[in-house]
Parts: sequence; C-alpha cells; structure tokens
Amino acid sequence: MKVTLTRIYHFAGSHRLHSPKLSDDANLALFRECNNQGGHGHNFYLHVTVTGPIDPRTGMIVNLGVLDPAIQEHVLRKVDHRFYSAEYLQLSDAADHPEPWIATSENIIRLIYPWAEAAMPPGVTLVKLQLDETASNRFEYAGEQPLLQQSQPLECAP
Amino acid sequence: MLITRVFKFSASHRYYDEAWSPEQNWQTFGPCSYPNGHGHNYVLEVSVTGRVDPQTGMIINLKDLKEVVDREVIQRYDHRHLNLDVDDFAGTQPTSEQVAVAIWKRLVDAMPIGDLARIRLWENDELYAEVSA
Repeated sequence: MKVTLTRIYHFAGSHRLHSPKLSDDANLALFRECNNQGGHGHNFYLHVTVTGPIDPRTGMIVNLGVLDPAIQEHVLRKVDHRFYSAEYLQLSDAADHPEPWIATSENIIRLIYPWAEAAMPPGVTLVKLQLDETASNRFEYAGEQPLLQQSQPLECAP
Repeated sequence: MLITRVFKFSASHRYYDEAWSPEQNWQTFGPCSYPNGHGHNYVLEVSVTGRVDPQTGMIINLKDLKEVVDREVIQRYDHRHLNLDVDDFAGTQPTSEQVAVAIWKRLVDAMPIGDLARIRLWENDELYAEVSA
C-alpha cells in the first residue's frame, strides 16, 4: 500500500517560445502563436505530490503548515509573476545545457523540480510534480530527465 | 486500464490530541483544532483494474461498484462527524491520508470482480490523498 499526499499551488507567469538558433520564420512555423513577440501568460497550477510515513499521532505525512511555507520559499518565490523566457537565460550558458533556454512547461517543470526537492521537510519525499499550464495542458514529471546534468544552484532575479 | 467512478460525501472532523495542551494543538493543527470541528465536501475517486469481459465490454459493472462503495464508505461517512460517529480513527487524526487509508482497507478486498488499483480522496480543490497497491 502506497500513500501520497498532493497539494496544489498556484502561480502566474509568462513565456515566449523562441529559439535564437532558428530564423524568425522557422520560429513562427514551429511555435506559431506561442512565438508572439511579447509572450503570453498562464495561471499555472502546480501539484506537489509527496510521500513518507504517516505520523500516527498527527495522522499526517507532512503538516501543511510546514510544507506550504517551504514551497513558497523554494519554488513559488522564484516563479510567481515572472517572464520565464527572459529570466533563467543563464541556463543557455550552462556548460551542461548545450541548447538555448526555451521556457516550455516541460522545461519549467524540470527547472522547478530540484527546488521542490530542496523544500521537502525531513522524512518527506517528493514523488512527482504536475504542472497545469491550462485546463487542457498538463505536464507530469518525476525527476527522470534533469535539466542540468549536475545540480547547480540556480539563482533567480530578486 | 483503469476504470474510475467518482463518489461524494460530506463530513466533518477535528484535529486535536487530548494529551497535548491547547497551545500545542494550535501550533500543530491551527484552525483544524477549533472545538466543534469543521467540514468538507469530500470527493472520492475509486479506480479498478482488471480484464475487460468480452461479453459485457466491462472491467466491472459500475452499478456493482457503486453498491460496494455506498455500503462500505458512503453509508459510514456521509453526513457524519469522523471523530465522533466513526470508529476508524481512534488514536490518530482523521486527516486526508488516514481517511484515504481507511477507505482503501474497506474496499481492497470488497471488489466483486477486478482489483482495486487506486483511490484518490479530495478534501478540497487543493488537496488530495492517494492510496495505491
């Protein structure tokens, strides 16, 4: 019997799908309206699924009074109300990230994953994340394709 | 292949450890420790796996699944106070995790056909617990 708990968080952000390696025409053909000059936004929903032993006294895998501020500090602060295509461009220069940074939700969820892992309180394990970009587009990820080959501290703009 | 049927029940609960001081309860459980409890509209997703019967086209007849879940879960928990009216949570708190585990234990051997694969219990729009084999 495996037991998990999932908490759903919300943040707003924007992105533009564009690769500097491609011509403008090629970008438009590939990304279509997602290539529009100023980008576009989403109300993202982040499902954080955790597991761990259930404390017999509290009945909890994790106290939300501990998890919520940890996710706020390690994840939400770095992604809420930001334009991801302009921020985190340092990923394009990382030695073990050879391709330009394109802020698709696949890449955003991979960006978030190590932060969410760092937010886990003692005894609690991150199982997976789900990122809902829209009501129709969902991305699930359990850490199997890291964005960077080595873990690096990735700072965000203040 | 999973087939999932969704059930709903409304119940109240309270998180409070009698062995702790009121201050410690507040520190651990916050508003969930208010004296008279509070309630939720729970949503329960019950997922069954198994072979599709070639004659019926079904893994399980949903009418049979509904009968089992109504008997084992809904009739016990719906419109009840989970601390006062239900025995399943003595010695612990009726959190989403513990209610999901209790539901799993009631249902896992009760499937008339197929196997219980997963249950997901939504306490509210932003929180759910899941139990799987």
